[in-house]
Amino acid sequence: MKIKNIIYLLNALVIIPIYAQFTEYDVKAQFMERFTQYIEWPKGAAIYNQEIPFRIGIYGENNFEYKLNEMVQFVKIKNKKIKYKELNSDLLLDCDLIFISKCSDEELSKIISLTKGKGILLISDSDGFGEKGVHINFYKVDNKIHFEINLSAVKSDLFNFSSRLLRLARIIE
Amino acid sequence: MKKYADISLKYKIIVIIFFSVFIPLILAISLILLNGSKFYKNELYNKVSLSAKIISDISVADIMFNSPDVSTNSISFIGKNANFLQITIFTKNGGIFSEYSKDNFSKKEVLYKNENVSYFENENFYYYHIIKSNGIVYGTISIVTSTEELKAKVFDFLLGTTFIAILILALAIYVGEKFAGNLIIPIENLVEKAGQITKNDSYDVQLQKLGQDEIGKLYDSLNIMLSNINSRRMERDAAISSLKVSEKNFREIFNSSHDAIFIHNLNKDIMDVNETMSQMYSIARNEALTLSFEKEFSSKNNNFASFEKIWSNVVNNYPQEFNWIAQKPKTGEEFIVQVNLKKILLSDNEIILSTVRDITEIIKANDRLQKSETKLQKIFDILQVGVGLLSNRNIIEINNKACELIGYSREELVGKDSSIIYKSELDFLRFSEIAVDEIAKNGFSHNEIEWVRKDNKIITVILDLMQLDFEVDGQGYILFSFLDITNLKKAEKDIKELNADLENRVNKRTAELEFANRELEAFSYSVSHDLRAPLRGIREFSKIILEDNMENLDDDGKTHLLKVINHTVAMNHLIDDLLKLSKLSQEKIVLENFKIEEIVNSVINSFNDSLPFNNVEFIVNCNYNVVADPSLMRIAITNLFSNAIKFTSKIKNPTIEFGSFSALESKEKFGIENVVFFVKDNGAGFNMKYVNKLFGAFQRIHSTKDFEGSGIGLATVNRIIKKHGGKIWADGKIDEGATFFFTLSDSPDFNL
Repeated sequence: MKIKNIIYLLNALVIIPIYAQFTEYDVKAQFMERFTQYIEWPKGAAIYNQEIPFRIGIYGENNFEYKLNEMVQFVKIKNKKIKYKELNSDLLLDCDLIFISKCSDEELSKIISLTKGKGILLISDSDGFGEKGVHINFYKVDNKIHFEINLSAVKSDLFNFSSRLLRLARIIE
Repeated sequence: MKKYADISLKYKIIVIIFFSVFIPLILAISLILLNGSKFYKNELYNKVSLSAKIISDISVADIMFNSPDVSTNSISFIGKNANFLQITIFTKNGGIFSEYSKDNFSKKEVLYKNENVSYFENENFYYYHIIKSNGIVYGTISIVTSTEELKAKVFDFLLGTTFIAILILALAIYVGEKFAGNLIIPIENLVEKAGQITKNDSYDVQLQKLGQDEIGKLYDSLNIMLSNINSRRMERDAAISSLKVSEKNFREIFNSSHDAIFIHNLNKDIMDVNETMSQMYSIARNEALTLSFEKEFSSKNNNFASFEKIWSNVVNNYPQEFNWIAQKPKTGEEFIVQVNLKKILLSDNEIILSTVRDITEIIKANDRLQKSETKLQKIFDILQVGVGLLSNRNIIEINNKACELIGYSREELVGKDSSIIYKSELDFLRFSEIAVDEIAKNGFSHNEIEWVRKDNKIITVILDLMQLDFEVDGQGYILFSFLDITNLKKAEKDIKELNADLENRVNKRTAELEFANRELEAFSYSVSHDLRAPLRGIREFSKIILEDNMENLDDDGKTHLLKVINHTVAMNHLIDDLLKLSKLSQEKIVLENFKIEEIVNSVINSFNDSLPFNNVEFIVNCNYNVVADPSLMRIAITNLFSNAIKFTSKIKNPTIEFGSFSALESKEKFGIENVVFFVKDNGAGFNMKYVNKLFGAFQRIHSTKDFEGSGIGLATVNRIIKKHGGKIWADGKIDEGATFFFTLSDSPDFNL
């Protein structure tokens, strides 16, 4: 308990000042961690194996680097340590969450078809990716970050999204 | 002021009931009122705190993902529905993230607080709650609500309880009055009755109770008490009177006992005697009290040493019974008594009660019985038939003759199973079954059975069993007696064998005789037949001599030759008759039903034809049908008539009658119940001395000189009648005629 408290204290001391810098990708990284609190992965997914850390894959350009390093150090997702890597198309399946930055439509559809039904959460920040089958897609309005959720992709991949999360998102049926 | 103790029970009860309802009611209402506001405050607190917790929970994600619009929507919805005055969500920096205010609420500055706290201020209730998730603080929620509603509720409650309290009190008084009334009636009734009973001093009354409650039970108890008092009073009266009666009764019983009673003290002094004692010992009571049982009332022949011992036993509570020779003190007459001594407690005094019974007669009777038994035993032993007594299968008693017949000694039989004298157990059981059946049916059984003697010889006995109609110790007895008929049996068997032998011999002889008879008949037939030829020779040659020498022969010679010829003719007749007789023996009878009268008339006609100048008067007076052989009957009747004609030849007015007697008449006359026919003449008759010779062949009772004949005629008739199964007999007197009677069968049916 004490160790946990110290971690939270450090969290509060460290993360809040970083927030103050307010970079767009810091907020997105923060949101991604908070999404996992409201999402249940499908049964039998690799995430339930406690031996393996929570693996985040960054496909394409990695704008998070500083923030992710910090999170790897201080934050736990689903009570597991975080590990992240930058991906090519061949390492896709060794992840629990993939953030897709800019990529071509072909690459996207390939990623979607490869990860289909494998219990891998796809997050992107490109306009129109939500409609194409990414589970959660960030978008901006008046310089404020919002997110949209493709509910049919979520359902077909057997993810369970909390209603608390859904009521804050723009829903794509 | 009236003292509380004097107030009627009824009002006491009503007051008690009123207060016992009123006091707890008031207490309860005050308590509820005191706690009521607290209760409603708690209720308000719970409602606000629950809302705050729900809002804080859903606001975490709103703050996390920075969505104040969504948050505002949520708290507006809850605030409106829960009727809150204001809801504010602060970020953890103290800035307002979202808020809701009721329209008519004059919005005040709500301060940011970083703690969970609640308080009432200015008729409003303030509630703060920190928004937290996974240990991370995201902000604070504040809810403000009005307390007006709370006050209204408390007032409503007070109104309601006061109304109900009044209602309950009214009901309590009503019920109390009713109940007290019911309670008080039986008590008042009881008070009244109790007063009456004590006043009248009559305890033979019973109270009528009004229910089964405690008062009802009190009634029951009082009733039992009353009846107990009453019955004790009656018992006491009865005891006093029965004491008097029992004293009288005791004296009566004492005196009316058939036994003489002495009452002794422990020192053998006689304290009292009863009337029977006076009579038995022929002494007055007063005198008896001065004498001693041991001395004046006892014979010198008693064993007084044993009496001492008996007495000490009795004193030690062992009652004694013994026989004693008593004595009448005045006459010295002795008699035997049975004495019973027992120590008893009479009116706190230990006394010895002696009951004395005169048993002289009983002893005499026993003697007589003994003698009678001895007598019976002697008779039993002297009987020359086997006699004994059985109980079940066992022989109880058996006499000497029986032992002798069976070959066992008395000791070997008495008490033993009777089956030992039977051939086998099975034989015994088979016989027992038969005997038991017969005894059950007739009371006795009579059978011939075989027994085995001790020496294994089988004897036949006639055994009679009879059930005795008395039982000793539940055992029934059976008396048996038997006769050894082994020798008789043997004799009977011998006779039977002898008889059978005799019959054989008779049959043999009869056969021989019949054979001889047939031989004889054959002989006589052949003789008769063979005699005819020489006889004819003699006759013919005599005729020739007579015809050829008519001139040469003198009258004497002629006469002699004529005699020869006549004799040969007679002899020829004789031979004919003999032939007829012998033929008759061989002929078979052919029965027909016909009128005997017809044959008689035909015979008479033939006589009239052959003797046209006779002067015989024939009378026929018979009208019976007979079953007989007609040709044989003709021969018989012809013979009888010729016989009659022959013997009437020398009288002037010969009469021959054929008649009959009916069965009824015959029975009267001859003792034969059959039709009897007869032929009666008034001729020479005969001497009844010779009646037995009449029907034999060649038997003659008249000389040939007087009446010619061969002496075969009646023999022939006899044989014919015999052949028909009938009978023939004759009655006659010299010179007064003869009558021949005959029947045709033993049975009258034959003559129909």
